[in-house]
Amino acid sequence: MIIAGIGSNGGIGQTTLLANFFVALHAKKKNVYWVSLSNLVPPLLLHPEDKWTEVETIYREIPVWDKQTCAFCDSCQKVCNSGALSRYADFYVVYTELCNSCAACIYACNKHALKFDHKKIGIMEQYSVHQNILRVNLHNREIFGPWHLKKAVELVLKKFPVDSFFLLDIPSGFRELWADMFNLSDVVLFFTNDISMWEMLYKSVTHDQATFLLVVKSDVYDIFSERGFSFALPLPYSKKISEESIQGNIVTNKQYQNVIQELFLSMNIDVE
Amino acid sequence: MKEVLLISDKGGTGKTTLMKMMVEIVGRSAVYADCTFTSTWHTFPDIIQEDLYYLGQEAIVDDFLCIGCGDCEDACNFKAIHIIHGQAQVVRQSCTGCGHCIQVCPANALTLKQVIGGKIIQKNANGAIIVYGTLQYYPRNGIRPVRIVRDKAVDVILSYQKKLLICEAYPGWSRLTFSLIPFANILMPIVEPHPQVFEFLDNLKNYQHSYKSNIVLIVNKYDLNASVTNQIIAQYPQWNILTLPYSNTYMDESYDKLKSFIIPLLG
Repeated sequence: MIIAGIGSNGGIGQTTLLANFFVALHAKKKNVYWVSLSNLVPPLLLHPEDKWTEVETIYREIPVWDKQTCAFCDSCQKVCNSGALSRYADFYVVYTELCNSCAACIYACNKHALKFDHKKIGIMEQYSVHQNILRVNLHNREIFGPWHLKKAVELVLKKFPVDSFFLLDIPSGFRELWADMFNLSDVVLFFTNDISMWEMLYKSVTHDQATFLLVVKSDVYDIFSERGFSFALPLPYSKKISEESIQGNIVTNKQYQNVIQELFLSMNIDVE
Repeated sequence: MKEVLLISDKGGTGKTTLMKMMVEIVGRSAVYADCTFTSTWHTFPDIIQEDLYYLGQEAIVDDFLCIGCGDCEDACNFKAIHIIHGQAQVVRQSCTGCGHCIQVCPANALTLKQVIGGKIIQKNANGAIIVYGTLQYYPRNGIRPVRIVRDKAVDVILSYQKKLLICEAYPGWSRLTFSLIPFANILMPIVEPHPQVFEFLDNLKNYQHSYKSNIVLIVNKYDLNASVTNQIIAQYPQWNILTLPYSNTYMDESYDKLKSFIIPLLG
């Protein structure tokens, strides 16, 4: 089961909630994996003494130019719409970061001087002792897009038993990942304090997509329940919770832990 | 012209809150550019100007010319074209605008159309000018038009003859930040004292080593993790460091602290 944690804006606390949920699942002896889609891991799951080991290499198909067969006709450069191919005096350069692997240049070349090649753009890493914590570490010239998300999910499902729980943490600010995330995952934990954004999402999401669990900050719960979203889970926040989160401790707030227990119930997870 | 760039290692460290405080503090002598495409400026209703911008291309099918042969469906690497009832149809979300289908189409039924990416909006906030962008269409390879917003802000600066540009970049240490960093005179990283922060700060230190830009570090919510804050202060003595406490409202002691810190820096 793929469970994604999405926050409507940065710093709202979706990572803290997901990390505490991870710990609770782990305590119940469930087979659970944490997948960070950036190189950051929440302080609760960070083990500074542990070493990262590479489990999978992420490749992308990038055209490679061959000088021997090239006729310098410039047709590849004309056909590239993303500006990833440019000609210098007597050579061409393919910019990996701009290329979107569309193969237009390869088909445009009459001399077959361009060929697709695997290029390493990042790695998926795993702690060597705490083996259920993973992160996707891309080269910093690569931006995490929908392609990378699909690839990461594909790699994770291929590598680990499918019946375990995968918690995906999406970095905030990357809203174009949301639509793909709704299709790929089974459950989406949507954490927000913005009623207008939730109403917009609520209209657009269809039934074949993921199940939504709405979590809101406790002070805006009244606004949500007035508009008919009384099923939202009110999550408390305070200085103490932030303090525990940033220092890498489990949140001890009773109301916070109750929300996590409610998540178990709404996902039909067997707690026994 | 002097340019200040706000960056951070992860989302939610308080860049936008700080930006709003700067609007209050520095006021109309600066122009503010929000390059993150997450609009939080709806509290200022006064729009000065809106401009559309184009971002990439996508294929469109001419239904009268399409013969439904399916060549484009085979050629597309992104599964963005399907033949439905003898007609090619383009899935807008998947199309990258590579133009390969146009080359294989025997009936010339496909053309490339420029896509409107969104708007660049200029707003008036009590005399100060804020420039930010909206994004309707997300390109598949994750590119964000951050430079379009920043360049627009520079145009505004030149036309109003201001001297200071305050810019906000995407969180993280990626290409979205690299495209803005070279223009900045003062880099202003805003971090929280979490244990992985040193990775980001070391990147910045290496950057400063080779490009010699000024760095003013702001540690937000420093009281949440005092040991890491002390470690940051000890490890980077060459930078100007300001520590701000945790607070739920931004108009309190941290406002005065920031005000007395920032005014002499910006001149």
